[in-house]
Amino acid sequence: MLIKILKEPLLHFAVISVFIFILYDVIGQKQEKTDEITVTLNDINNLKSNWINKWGVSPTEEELNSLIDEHIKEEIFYREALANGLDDNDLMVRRRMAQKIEFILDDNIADKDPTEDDLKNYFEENKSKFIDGKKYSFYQISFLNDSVKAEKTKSVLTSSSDTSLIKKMNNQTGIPIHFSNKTAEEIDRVFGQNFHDTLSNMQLNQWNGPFQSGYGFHLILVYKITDGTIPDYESVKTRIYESWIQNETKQKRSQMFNELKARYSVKIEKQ
Amino acid sequence: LITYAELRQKFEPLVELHQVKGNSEVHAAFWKNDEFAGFENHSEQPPLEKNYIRYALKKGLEYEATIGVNPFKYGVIGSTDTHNGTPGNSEENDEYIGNKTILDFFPEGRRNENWALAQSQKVYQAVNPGGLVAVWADANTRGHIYDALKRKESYSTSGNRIQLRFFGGYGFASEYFSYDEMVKDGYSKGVPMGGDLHLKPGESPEFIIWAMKDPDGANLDRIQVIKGWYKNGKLEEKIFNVALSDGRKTDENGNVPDNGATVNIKTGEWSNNKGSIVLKTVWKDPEFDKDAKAFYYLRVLELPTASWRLWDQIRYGIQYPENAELIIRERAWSSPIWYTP
Repeated sequence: MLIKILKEPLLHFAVISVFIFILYDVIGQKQEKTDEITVTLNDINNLKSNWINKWGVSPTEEELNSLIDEHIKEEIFYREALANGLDDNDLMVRRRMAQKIEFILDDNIADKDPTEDDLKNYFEENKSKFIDGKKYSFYQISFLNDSVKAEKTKSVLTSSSDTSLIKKMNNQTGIPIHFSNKTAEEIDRVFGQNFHDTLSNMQLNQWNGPFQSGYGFHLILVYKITDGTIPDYESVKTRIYESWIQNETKQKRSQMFNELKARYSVKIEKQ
Repeated sequence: LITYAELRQKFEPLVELHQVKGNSEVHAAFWKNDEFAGFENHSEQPPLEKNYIRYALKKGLEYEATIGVNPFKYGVIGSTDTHNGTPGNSEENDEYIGNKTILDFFPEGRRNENWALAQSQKVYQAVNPGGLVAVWADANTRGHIYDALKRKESYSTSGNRIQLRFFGGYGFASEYFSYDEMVKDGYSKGVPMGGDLHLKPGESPEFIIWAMKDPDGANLDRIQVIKGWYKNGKLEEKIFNVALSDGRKTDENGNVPDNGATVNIKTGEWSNNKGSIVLKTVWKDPEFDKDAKAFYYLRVLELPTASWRLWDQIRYGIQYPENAELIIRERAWSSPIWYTP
């Protein structure tokens, strides 16, 4: 019976564990190991400059101390979270980490400015991107509700060859008399919804109307309608520049991603 | 206290007079003599007179007289403050989609849902499509627009696109036939909205007043000058009807005859044959008192039009309760011009 008990593995286990506990108690270090947190001068300067960015003034000593306390608290919680593996497969953390790599990659892109030739070539290859909508150039005279006066004025203007007559017309409305190269949207913003329709099929270089808008009656002389033309290089240089940067960034991004992707073999399980 | 008042004047050049959650010019409970008070007010708590802008403008004059600084020297702006990413969508009839996305995107929500935490008010009682701010700026750039806001050359509308001019000064013409001449005189002989007007001995100030309708909105009904002043320890105010449509004249009590403009409840159409496209005048304060600090601001009223509730009824067959406001009077308010002797 005794032998049987002595052969029982559970007993061996119990005896050994008691032995280990005693041993540990005798020779083991009582003191628990602590992690060290150093708030570096660099950390403090960062805290200060964040504060200055936000409030426009340096933090007082009291404020700085509480910023440092807050920093230590965050560091402790952060380390505890890491130790407990809370970052593992957390959606927010995953996205943030992925985003940081994207930022780093983007930093490598933005350093190149296009040369004049780059821009010109880009413009040549992508002219269709810069085509404008129809643009209208015209004169208009407003008559508020007085359609009779509008008709009379029309016959005066039509029969006269004095072109300075337009500028002598009295304007009560504050709507400009001359509009040069305006898009449909710009015209509608002044005269109300869909007013540009009135202009689109008009005989050029003659007085037409009276037409009615929300502001009453108008006589209109359209002298130029330009059809979706390709603008000249100089006049849209800023847009070309912006578009070039955008395009370059997009291309470099996908290039860099493809380089990274080549390092991985990707398998997708069958659904 | 003076430092505090100075800080307020410096850092609070503007106040928001209109937005989706209501209008803050005046409240009908305290302005019983103002027939156009009670416009799209929204008060979750019992309203207080001191929370309305016309009162603050008057109170500011009192502070100026008693402590030397006017802490409430406000120009006005309007905004939407919607939560659905549609700034500038402030028309009543432009396919209104509410302002809190899921709460009031659909007409059923607008009729049935409670407004925010206030259990006492439904959405349809609380909100409107919001206001707009307009500025007179030298150029359409961020810098110029902010400069105009800073000098209070701004006005607020209840969501429509009325154009509004207001100058105070001396030696204007008695009438302007040309817009350009008028504006030129306004700046060279006076100050625009948001400005300060001083005493010119022996003369009483004149005001150039001009408004043009929203091209997609109703015609204009009238322009009013609202004057507030402080004298002998009392806050005073008076409304003058200075420009009226349809050739109307005020009677001896200052009342304006009705011009018969209506809204068709079945179609939402308003009277096109009434009202004015442009209203204008050069006005002199008949009760000018050179010793009383005062402010003058404009209120422009459109003819009656359909509110978004009526458009909901017409478009979606939704019935709003009897107390719902179906007809409204859209309007615009200028920043004040202050008379400081």
